[in-house]
Amino acid sequence: MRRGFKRTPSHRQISGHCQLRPLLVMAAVCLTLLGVVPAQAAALPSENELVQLSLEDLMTLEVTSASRKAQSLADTAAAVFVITNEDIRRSGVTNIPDALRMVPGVTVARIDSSKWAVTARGFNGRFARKLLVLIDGRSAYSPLFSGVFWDAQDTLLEDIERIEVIRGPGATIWGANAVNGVINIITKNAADTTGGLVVAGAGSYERGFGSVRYGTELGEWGALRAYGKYFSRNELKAEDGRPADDGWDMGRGGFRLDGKSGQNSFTLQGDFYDGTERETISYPDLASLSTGYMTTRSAGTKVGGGNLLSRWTRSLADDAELSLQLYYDRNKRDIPQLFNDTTDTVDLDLLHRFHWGGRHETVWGGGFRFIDERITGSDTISLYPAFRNEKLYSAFLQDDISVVQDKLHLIIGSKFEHNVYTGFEVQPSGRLVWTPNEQLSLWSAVSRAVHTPSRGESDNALKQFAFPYQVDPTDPNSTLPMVIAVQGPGNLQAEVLMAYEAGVRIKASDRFTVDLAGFYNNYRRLIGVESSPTQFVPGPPTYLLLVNTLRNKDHGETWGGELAADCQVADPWRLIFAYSYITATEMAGDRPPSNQVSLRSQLELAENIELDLWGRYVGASKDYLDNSLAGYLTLDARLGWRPVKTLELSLVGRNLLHHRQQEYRAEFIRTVPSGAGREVYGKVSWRF
Amino acid sequence: MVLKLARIVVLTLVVSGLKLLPLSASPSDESQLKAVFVLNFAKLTEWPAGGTVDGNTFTIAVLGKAPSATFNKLLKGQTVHGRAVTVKHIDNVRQVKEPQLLYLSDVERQRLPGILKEVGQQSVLTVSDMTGFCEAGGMIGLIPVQNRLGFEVNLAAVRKARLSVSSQLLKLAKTIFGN
Repeated sequence: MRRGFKRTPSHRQISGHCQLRPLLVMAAVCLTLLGVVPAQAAALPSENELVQLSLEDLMTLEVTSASRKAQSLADTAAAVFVITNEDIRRSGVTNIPDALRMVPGVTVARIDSSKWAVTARGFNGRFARKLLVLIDGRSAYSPLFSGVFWDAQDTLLEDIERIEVIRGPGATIWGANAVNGVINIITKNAADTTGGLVVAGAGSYERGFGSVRYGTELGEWGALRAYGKYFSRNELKAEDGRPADDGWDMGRGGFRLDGKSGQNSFTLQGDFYDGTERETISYPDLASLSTGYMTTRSAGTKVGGGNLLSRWTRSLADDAELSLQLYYDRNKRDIPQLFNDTTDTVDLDLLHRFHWGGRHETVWGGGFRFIDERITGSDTISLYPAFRNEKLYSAFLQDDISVVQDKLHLIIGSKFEHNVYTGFEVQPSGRLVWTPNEQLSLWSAVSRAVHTPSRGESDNALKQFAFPYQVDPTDPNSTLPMVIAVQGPGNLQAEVLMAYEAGVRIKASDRFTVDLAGFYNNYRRLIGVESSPTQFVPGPPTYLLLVNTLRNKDHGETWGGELAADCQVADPWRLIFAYSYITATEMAGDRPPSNQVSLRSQLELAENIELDLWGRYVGASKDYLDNSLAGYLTLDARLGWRPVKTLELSLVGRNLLHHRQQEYRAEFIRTVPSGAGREVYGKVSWRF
Repeated sequence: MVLKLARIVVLTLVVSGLKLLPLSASPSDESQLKAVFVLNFAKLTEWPAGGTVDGNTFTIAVLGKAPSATFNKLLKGQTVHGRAVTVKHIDNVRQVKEPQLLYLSDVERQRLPGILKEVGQQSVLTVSDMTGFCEAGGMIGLIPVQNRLGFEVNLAAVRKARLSVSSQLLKLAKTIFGN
């Protein structure tokens, strides 16, 4: 398994005709020009011409990114899928969660216009907490609710190098909470993004978006880029068909500096973001308990923050490497009158990789993370205590042993952590990779992984529902408001997973690869709820209180498999297929869809015209209240045209097969869910 | 909506009078480019007089999960220093006696020091597209430069193998180590 902080293993609805017509006109104009504007020159000369070229000429030729894949994928003893920059571009996605829909084993379900539930191999939720997400080595996992706030995770998509998704416990290197998987988002080195880029577009759901990036080389030793982006997104429709009033807009900017001098390489990067999301929340409002029970209120939630990350890597003798990383991350979220949170994180990590004994590649390292949270709650949702510091200490050790040179590798290791909630945790893992020849690679793994409870689970107190309850069945005047509350006990233990996995990678030819993975996961000490007897609160206001306390009382199993196939059917046509299957025993929480299928077709209609189709099927599932969520079949389509080398025009239609689809209902805080339907947008991309 | 989109697609096909053209930018692009780079490196390097096994051929040994088929297709029949080029795919360095050039790709990193030490005694030009190849002791490393290819040269390693590279090559190198 390859390591380093780069973690390389050896990517609605049409609201009216008025908006559509200008787009159709644009398309018609493009098409008319097609006959007039000559096709752009080929990217590469023919083989005979190529061989005659001089070195100077060779260095001016551009390499198509379609052929670039993460190296040594076959050596990885895990279920890995890579989303390349090209995959992102041709899928027409405008955000990271939508890009993850093409990954087998990953379930992406939209909650509302700005919220997603994303997980790998089950246990989904708005606060899905068994998935670790990293952006250039910085954890995107919120320590508050142990989940990822996907509305706050974004970057300039055009500058993403690749997204590596590992299903299964990546605990040994990445640490606690990488229970079911790791998503590693890697942006391009600044040296690869010199020059300018301007992107602009609009559509039926995407009210408008624009990005600017400029990069420059800094002498011989480095490069620097800076970017800015803004988008405004429309509301979606709630389950009753009415507009959900959940539109949002976000501004974001950042920079990245990369430098290299002899044995040392250095990177410094930072981002800041600021945005407003509208959402509609239902909650028991004690002030209006006897009259309305639940208050449904639209709020303009404000989110914002920034981060700064630095990393220094030094190549040592005998192909060894030393790496040191330090970052600061601040995230703020303010739901007016309900909840206000500011979280600061400082993280320091060290990694050392070296070879010894001719057969061993050892990686070891340590890290320290300091998290400071300041929370202002309300009667409805609060955390006790309101201020808490967390210190997390971690260390890891892993050895990759060549049992048989190039053919059989044994990888054993463990991560050790100390956190404020559960103390000391150990996460060992053993993996075996057998590569009999260039075409075939088999691997198997046994791992133990833990999810340590977050503040939101351990310290919370949330009032979720209120409804009229007739205390005396015979007396209709004995109705009192009944309030259901959820609370953490303050001393939750870690959830434990024992995972058994195996997989095979077949490279049938240069044009066809198949990747198959299977898993059996056994979970213990899962967090579930325990109801206490109803209490009478005399007030005022007077109500009955039923408290559900979070406890480690559940256990369960999941098993299933994923299949990924990549086929270059003909020179201009590539098909990428992904299938996921999962079965779960009865457990608290949602129920994952048994089957998911994704099929992408990338077709070059001509030298500079691309037609990309993406069909998806997601099976039926159940939300956390055991209500069913319908399965769906949908299609995205993209038409791209490059009239000149520096300009790309594209027209994208998404969710074309359905009017509106509710993909999920979020747990914990009752935000009104909404779903996306058919939508279309047009985009212009100019490089200079 | 779907019908409207379909109409646009059909219109595209009709107006541009398309046929499915074979795309010049196919997945083997990058390997083809690298093969020709390797050919040029060979042409711009000088080997010490005498001492090589077969005087009539220029042997390029390809090690690792490299696309040797592409290398073979492009380079077979070319001439370097008056000799005909042959491409041999090998699984370990001892499989071929004294190649003039060794190209490594997608080799496990921990094998690199061993391989380089083994061929370090012979006058073999080592070339690779693996990251950090020159730092690890390799002679010429292909590196991505934006979306093009460039290369670095480890002059100390070149000299140690009693080879010499032309100044024309050095001029185009992005970085020169061990100067």
